[in-house]
Amino acid sequence: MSGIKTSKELYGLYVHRFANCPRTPYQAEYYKKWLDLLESCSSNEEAEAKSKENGLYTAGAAAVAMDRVFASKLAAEERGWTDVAEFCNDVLQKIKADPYYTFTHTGMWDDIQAKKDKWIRTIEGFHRLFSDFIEYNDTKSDPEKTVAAIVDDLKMLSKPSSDFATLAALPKFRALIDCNDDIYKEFTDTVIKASTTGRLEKIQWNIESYQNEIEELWEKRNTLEDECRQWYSQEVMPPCVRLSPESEDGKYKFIEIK
Amino acid sequence: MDATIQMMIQGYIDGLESMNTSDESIKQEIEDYKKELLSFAETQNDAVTFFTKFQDSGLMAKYMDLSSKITMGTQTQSQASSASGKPTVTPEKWLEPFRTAYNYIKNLPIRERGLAVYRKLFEIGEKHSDITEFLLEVEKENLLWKLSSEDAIGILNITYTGMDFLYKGLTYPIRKNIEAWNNSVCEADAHYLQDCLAEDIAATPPRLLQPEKYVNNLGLHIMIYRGPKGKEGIMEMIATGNCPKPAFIGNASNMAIAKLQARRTMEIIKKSVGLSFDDILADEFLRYKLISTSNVCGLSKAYVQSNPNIIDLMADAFKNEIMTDISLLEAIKREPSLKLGRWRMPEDREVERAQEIARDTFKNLPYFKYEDQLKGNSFHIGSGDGFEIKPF
Repeated sequence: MSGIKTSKELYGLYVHRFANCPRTPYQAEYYKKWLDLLESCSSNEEAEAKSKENGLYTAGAAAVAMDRVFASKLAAEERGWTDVAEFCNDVLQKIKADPYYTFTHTGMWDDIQAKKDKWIRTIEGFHRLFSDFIEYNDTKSDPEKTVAAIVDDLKMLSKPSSDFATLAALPKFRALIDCNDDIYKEFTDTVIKASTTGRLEKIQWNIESYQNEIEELWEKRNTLEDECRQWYSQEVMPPCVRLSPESEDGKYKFIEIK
Repeated sequence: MDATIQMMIQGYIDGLESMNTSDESIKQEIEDYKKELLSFAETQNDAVTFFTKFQDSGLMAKYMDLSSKITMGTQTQSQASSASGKPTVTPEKWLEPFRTAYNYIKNLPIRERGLAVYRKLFEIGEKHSDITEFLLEVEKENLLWKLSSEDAIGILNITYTGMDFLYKGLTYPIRKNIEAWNNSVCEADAHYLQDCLAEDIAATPPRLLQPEKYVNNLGLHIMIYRGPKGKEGIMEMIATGNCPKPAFIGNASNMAIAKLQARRTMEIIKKSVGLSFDDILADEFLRYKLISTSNVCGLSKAYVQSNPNIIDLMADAFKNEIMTDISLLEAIKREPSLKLGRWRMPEDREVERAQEIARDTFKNLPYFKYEDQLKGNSFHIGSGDGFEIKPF
C-alpha cells in the first residue's frame, strides 16, 4: 500500500496538467488545494478526513463543470459572442455560490448551447444567402425562386444582428465570401432588394443576334450531312467509375464500365 | 436509414456504451442522447452531408460532452478512492468496468484506437497492486482522457478513409475535429476547441465549396451547348435524316442561349474566385465538377459518370466555339477534326456495376471493412431502449 508520498506525486501531476491548460483554472485550483492538504497531512486517511470537513472531498464535480462553462466563456469572448460570454459568467457565479447548481439546473447546458447556436446559424444563413445569389446571378432566370429562398434564409440571421446590411458591413462576414468587392456589392444589393421589394430582375436571354446563324444552320443543314455522319459513326465512349485518390495530392483513377 | 449513416451513428453509440458509468443521471443522459441521435439520423438521407449536419445540429458537441463527462466522472471517483487510501480498491477491481466495456467493443475494428488505450490501461493494471501507484502511471500518460480522445480520433480517422480526399469542403470538418481531439488534454480543453471549431466549420466548408458551385453552373451551360439538347442533338438529327424543324431550331436556340450564359458564368467565375477556364481544367477536383456525377460508394469515395474524355470535348467547345465568334454552322463543320468520340450518360445497370467496382477497389480500407462487418448483422443499440438497427 503506497503512502501519502505517492498521493502527493499523483496530485502534483494533476495540478501540472490542469495548471498548464489555459481552459482549466478551476480544476487546477481544486487539485492544488488537494495537494496543499496532502502536504499538511501525514497520511492519506488524515487527508481524507480533513477534505470531508472542508468540503474539498465533494468539490471535484463542480470544478469540472465550472471549467467546462469557463471554456465556453473563453471561446465566446474570443469570438465576440458577448451574450454567450455573459451568460456563462452568470452560470459560473451560480455554481460558485451553489456547488450543486449543475445537478439541479441540468438545462443550463442546453441554454448555453442554444445561445451559441444563434451565432453559428447566422454564419450558415449568410453563406446560404450567397449561394442563393450565385444561383440567381448565373442566369437570372428564376427570380421568384431566389426571392423566396432569400426571404427564408434571412430568418437565420440573429447574431450579432438580424439585419443583413449590418452584418454584410462587418469584416468578419465579408471574410466569409471569396469574391472581389464588385461581386460582393452585387450580392448585398441583390439580397437587400429581394428583401425590401420582394422582386428581382429577370434576364431575357436575347438571341436575336443569333437568328441569322440559326436560319443559316437550318437552310444549310443538308451540306453538313458528311460531317454529322462522320461524328455519328464514331464509337460511343463507355461511362466510367471515378475512384478517389489515395492522398490529398493524388489523381483520380478511372475504370470504364463494360 | 442510409447504411452509411447507420454505421456512423452505431460508432457513436458504441462509444458511449463502452464507457461505463455508475452515475444514474449520466446514464439517463446517454439514453436520451441515443434517442435524439436516432431521431436525427432517421431524418437524414444523404451520407455525404450527414457529418456536417451532425455537427451543425449540436449532436457532435453533445456527444463529446457526454463522453467527457463519463470519463471525468470516473476519474473523480478514482481520485477520491486514491486519496482515501482505502485498501479495498485494487487496480484489478477498479478496472472491472473497463474490462466489461472492452469486451463489448473488442471486435469492432472502428474502435481499434480506443481499444489500444484499454489494453495499455490493463497492462499497467497488471504491473501494480496499489491503486495510487497504478493511477500515477495512468496519469503520466493521461490515459483516462485518451479513452475518450483516442476513441473519437479512431472513429473519425476511419470515417475519413471513406471520403474523397480531394473534396476539401467535405473532409474539412473531419480533419479539424481530429486535430481538436489530438490537441486536447482534458474535457474542458476539448470543449473549448469544439466551440472554436463550430464557428470555423460553419464558416469554412461553404467557402471551400463556392468554386464548385460556379463550376457546376458553367459545366451545365457548356453541356447544354454541346450535348443532346444543343449541338450533338442537331448533329444526330442531320446524321439520321430525322430533322423536324421545331426540334432543330429549338436545339440551335439552346446553343445560342447556352453560349451567352457560359460566357457570363465564366466572367463571374473570374471576378468571384479568380479562376480561368484553364485553372479549372488543371484542378483535379474542380475539372470533374464540370460534368454530372453521382456518388456510388462511401462518402464520395467513388463516382459514376460519363467517360472522362467528355471533359476534352467540353473544353474544346468552350475554347474554340463558345468563347469565339465562330458561327453555329462552322461549329458543326469543324466537328470531324476533333475525333474525340461520342459519349453517353451511365445507365442504371452501369450505376450498379460502378458500385460493385468501387466496393471491390476499396474493400480493404477501414471504413469499408467496418461497413462490411455490419452487413447482415442485426445489432442492438444498448439494452431496453426499444431501438434496433436492422441489417442492411
